[in-house]
Amino acid sequence: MIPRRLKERLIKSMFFGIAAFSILIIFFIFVFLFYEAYPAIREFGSELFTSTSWNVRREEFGLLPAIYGSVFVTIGALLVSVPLGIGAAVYLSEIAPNKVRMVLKPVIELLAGIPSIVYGFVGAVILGRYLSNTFNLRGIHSFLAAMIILGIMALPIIVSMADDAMKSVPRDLKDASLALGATRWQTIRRVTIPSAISGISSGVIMGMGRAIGETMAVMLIVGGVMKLPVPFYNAFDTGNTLTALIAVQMGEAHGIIINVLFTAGVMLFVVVAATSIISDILQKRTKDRFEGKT
Amino acid sequence: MLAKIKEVLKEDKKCERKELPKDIKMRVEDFDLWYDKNQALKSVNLDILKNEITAIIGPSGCGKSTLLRSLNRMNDTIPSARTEGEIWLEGYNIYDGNTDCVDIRRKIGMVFQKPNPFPFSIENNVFYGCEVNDMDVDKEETVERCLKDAALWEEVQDRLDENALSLSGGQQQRLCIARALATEPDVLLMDEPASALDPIATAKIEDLIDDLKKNYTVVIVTHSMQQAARVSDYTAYMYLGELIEFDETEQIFENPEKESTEKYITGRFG
Repeated sequence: MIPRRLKERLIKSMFFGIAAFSILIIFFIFVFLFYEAYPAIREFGSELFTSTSWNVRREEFGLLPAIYGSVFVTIGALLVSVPLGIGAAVYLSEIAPNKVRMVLKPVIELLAGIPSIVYGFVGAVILGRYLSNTFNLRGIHSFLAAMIILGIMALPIIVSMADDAMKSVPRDLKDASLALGATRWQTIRRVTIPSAISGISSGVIMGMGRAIGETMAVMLIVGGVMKLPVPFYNAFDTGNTLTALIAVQMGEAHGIIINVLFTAGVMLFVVVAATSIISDILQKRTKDRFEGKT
Repeated sequence: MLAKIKEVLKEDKKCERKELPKDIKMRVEDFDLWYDKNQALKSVNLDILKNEITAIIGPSGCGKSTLLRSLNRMNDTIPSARTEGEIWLEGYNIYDGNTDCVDIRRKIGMVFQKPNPFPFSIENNVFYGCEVNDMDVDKEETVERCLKDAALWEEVQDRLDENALSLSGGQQQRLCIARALATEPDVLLMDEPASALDPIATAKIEDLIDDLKKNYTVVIVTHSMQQAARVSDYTAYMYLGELIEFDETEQIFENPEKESTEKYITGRFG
């Protein structure tokens, strides 16, 4: 029989070990990414990030089209998911009767449980085909289809986090607004949303992280062509993203190209980690704001 | 066709009216309220006199806050609440189906138990009510007048653009009072406005309530009998959703008619 105090300490250090282990794993991934990316950066320098020509045989590795593609689809996805997501969150948290909310919220969260390959499939076959027929495109691939699908994929996280943020605005504040003769809509617009803005932004940024990092769905829809859309804002054109590039090329990659792909991975890692950190900070701000007062 | 629509619209505007005696600001008539199947108010009758301070006292759960929240229809925000009976404000039935809740709440201000300033600047807090009601008033003037009326002006005049949450609890509560005054209400409802404050801040609020009487009709819910005795002109005693006794404050505290009232104010229960 182990003494109680010793047992307590053993359990404590065991959990510390588990926590430390996961941090260590992240650390090693980070180091490994940089280690593998470094040869490519040394070899090609800034050309990697500024050149638009990608030709494996001639050893031309310009990542710019993929970088631009990632940014482009992410902006487009946010244009779809932010208005829809915040609108849905306002409805869920402020307007929907309890019964409706109890059905709707799990359904929206279920969207997050659909495997991304299914989204990609639906996006390519149904949405891609529809857009292609409607706008007379050459194939079923386009940035637009990728933006719409990514937008839908980012929805659950935005809805869920924005809903939580608005729900956490104290009832007292909403009551105060109503008691001053504000309508329900005025209260939502002038009190609830501004008070919850940190939490809502945090959700949007998490959704953005999701859109940047998404691979399978984008790979099936965006076309996988290493070129900039022409003109640069043409969402009907095809292109590539960093994630799709890695996924497609990795299988037959050898030599320096592996290092190039790791460079793409480093960029993704940094951006997604940054979104997650910013999101965390914003969330903490919402919490501080309301816990500071008596 | 158009004439008919106009007629309907006109009819809609009509709201039940009746004449009240001149000195009565609000009248509660046979008012019942249920939360689901729980009856929280039982056939309450109460007259609230103009420019007087009416206190509502009673043990926890007696329905005093519910009654207060009924006076500006704040109970409408609770889905399970259902009412019967009427509450009149200067001859208008505020529970008439055609009455605009939003309008009612502008005319009847409310101060809550916990100070609840918005997380905006001090001046925007005060001006909020005017803004949402599209009132055509000067912002600077209104903010100054209301903060002066709420005895807060001296302390905050140099930092009107600071976040209201940086104020102390007592200051926040006076800010909430200032905010409620900005829409120029006739009646001011206060739900235990000093219960979250220390004795000094409480004294300030009580002085303030006494000053407010000149221009407003005040209804205050309190669980402190001393406070009711100190600030109010009339006192209503409630127990288990019923209004047991209502009279001048002196009368209630010195010579209550009902046994239950006497027991409560002498501290034998509650």
